[in-house]
Amino acid sequence: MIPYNVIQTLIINILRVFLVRQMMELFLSGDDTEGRKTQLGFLAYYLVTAAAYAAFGVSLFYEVCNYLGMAGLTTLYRCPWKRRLWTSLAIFSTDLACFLAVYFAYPQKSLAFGPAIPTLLFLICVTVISHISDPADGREDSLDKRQLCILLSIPAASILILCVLLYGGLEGTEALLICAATLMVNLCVFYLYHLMAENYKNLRENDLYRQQTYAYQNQLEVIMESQGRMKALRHDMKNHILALQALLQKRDWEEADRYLSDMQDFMSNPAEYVATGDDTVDSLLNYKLQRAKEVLNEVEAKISIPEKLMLHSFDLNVVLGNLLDNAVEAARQTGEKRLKVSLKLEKGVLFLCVQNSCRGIAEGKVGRLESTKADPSAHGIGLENVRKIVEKYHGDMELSCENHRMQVDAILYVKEM
Amino acid sequence: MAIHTVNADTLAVSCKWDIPREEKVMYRIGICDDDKALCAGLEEQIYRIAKEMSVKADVEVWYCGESILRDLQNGVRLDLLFLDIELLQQNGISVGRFIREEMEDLQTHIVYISSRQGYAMQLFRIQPLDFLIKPISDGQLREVLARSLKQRQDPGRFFAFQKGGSLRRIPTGDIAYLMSMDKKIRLVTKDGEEEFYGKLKKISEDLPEDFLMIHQSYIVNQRYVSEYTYDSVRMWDGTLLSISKPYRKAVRSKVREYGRAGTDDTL
Repeated sequence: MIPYNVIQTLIINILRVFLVRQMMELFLSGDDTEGRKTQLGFLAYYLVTAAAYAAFGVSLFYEVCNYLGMAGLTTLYRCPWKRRLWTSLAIFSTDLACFLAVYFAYPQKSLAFGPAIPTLLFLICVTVISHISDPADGREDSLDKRQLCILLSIPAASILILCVLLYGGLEGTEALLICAATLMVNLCVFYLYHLMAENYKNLRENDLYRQQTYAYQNQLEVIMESQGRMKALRHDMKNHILALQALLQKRDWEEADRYLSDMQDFMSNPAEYVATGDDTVDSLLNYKLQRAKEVLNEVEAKISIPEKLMLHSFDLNVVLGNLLDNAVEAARQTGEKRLKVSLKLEKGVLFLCVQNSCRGIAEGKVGRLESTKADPSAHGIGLENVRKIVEKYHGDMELSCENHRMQVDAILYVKEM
Repeated sequence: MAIHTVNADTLAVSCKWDIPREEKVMYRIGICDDDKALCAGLEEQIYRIAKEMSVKADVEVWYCGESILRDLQNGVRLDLLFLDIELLQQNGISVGRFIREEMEDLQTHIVYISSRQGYAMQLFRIQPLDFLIKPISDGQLREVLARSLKQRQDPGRFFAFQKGGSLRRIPTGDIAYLMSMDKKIRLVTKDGEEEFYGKLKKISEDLPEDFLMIHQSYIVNQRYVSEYTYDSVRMWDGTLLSISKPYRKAVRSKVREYGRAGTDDTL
């Protein structure tokens, strides 16, 4: 017959593993393509911790197993190692604090009850934390070193305190208080993390809005320039008419033709690449293409979209801005320095295609591109944001790279024609 | 005897042979613009480029919206129409709408030409092949002409099926969508319907790339789709067909690729 408390431990450990998973999914973005692998990972974690608990109870060995298991689990998620380290430490210290708090509160009974009470306490903590935090899909942080140190030091120090408690011979109310305080601090660190992430998001948004403002300003200049040219032409119209009349009387067709095309050239504003009538699109594209033209040899744009797009201007800004920035950056590093953008609306679908010359990366279709940016922690954030917007509009995106040509091809459903 | 007939009916096959037709068919191109000089220039440009591309083109010119509408009502058909947006009385939008809505003609490729950028939403509903800004360069014209020709290719492909013991053939370009109902398949063309026995999945393998399977019982011809959303398509006649969940991902990438195929993809 299997002893009653072993079964109890096994069942309660299921709940604990489930809670750990929920916490991880709160802070690490889940990758649904590897769902099976994740499930197997959690199963292994469950078996190891259950075995360690059954053999040693609450002990250093069990806790080491527990932490290594959590650290291993974080590798199943696709995100920077910093965030993995932080998540595993924070979850572990919360878990440990819960165990020890109960252990010190009921030194004798805790053995009889097994892990039930600590796990319930853990459940409460997880519930509180999940109310504090955003769902993981909004997460796009890249913490700098100082922030990371602060964030890491709190759970690390808590773990140290708890270990000392466990072996320091302190007992009774004092130990319980220390445990409770540590638990509180740990809950606070989750909130701190949440604030930092929020702050980071705001900074990024600010950045985007600042860019948009520059773009609008630029657009205003472009419009004024165009109008100025028209005005100048109108001012001289009388002279032009006289000159043309003279040429026509002389029957000098060629010269008249040349004169007319000169007039046309004079009217057209080289800074005005795009004039769809949609202010957001015009300003953004004119701004970006103007910048691109400064560093690239060949910039081409083919835009056929209506004056009003059923698309949030912020979203379009994220998509076009990021893709153009990436493309210009990549093209700048090549000899050809070419860029081509096309944007068209057809049957309720917005087709977007950005092509540029690039140094050879992996050939063929690429899921996630290696960035050439200096700061490796900012890798792929831009593209990741584009992907999110594309998903928001139920669209589809493909990146490909062959023959030193990079191409991003995306569609967004904008319906409401 | 009855069983035998059913067997014959389930035999739906698609054939890829070409019908015998003239070596070169006239490509009927129309220009409608109130600027006579521009029309003359464009006409000359088209003839020259068509000759370069060894296409036999026949260009016809109208100077106002009313006259082209009259001719279209009298049965004049075009393959490609360059249409000015800013025509005087009947503007480009109303001419386009007349072609698409009154005449229910999706086959004529409309290329809008305009002297300014910036297009109204209504223009997009007419599903133009392209928008060009005057003056139109040879390169642009060549590209548009090539695209129009390419989309009109494949006239020789036929879809064949057995019905009542006899083999029926329909040009694939005329099929708007296919719908399976029990063991029968309903085939909707631009001007009618047919029913026969068959398996939709099997048929989908034999259809050209214009066709898109959006549901286990619907296949649509993308040329007859007037609007896409992520979970449904609206056909040219207003029928709304839903895209079922398992097909959505594939449909998305097909729509993306199909739409891209329409543009020149060289850098």
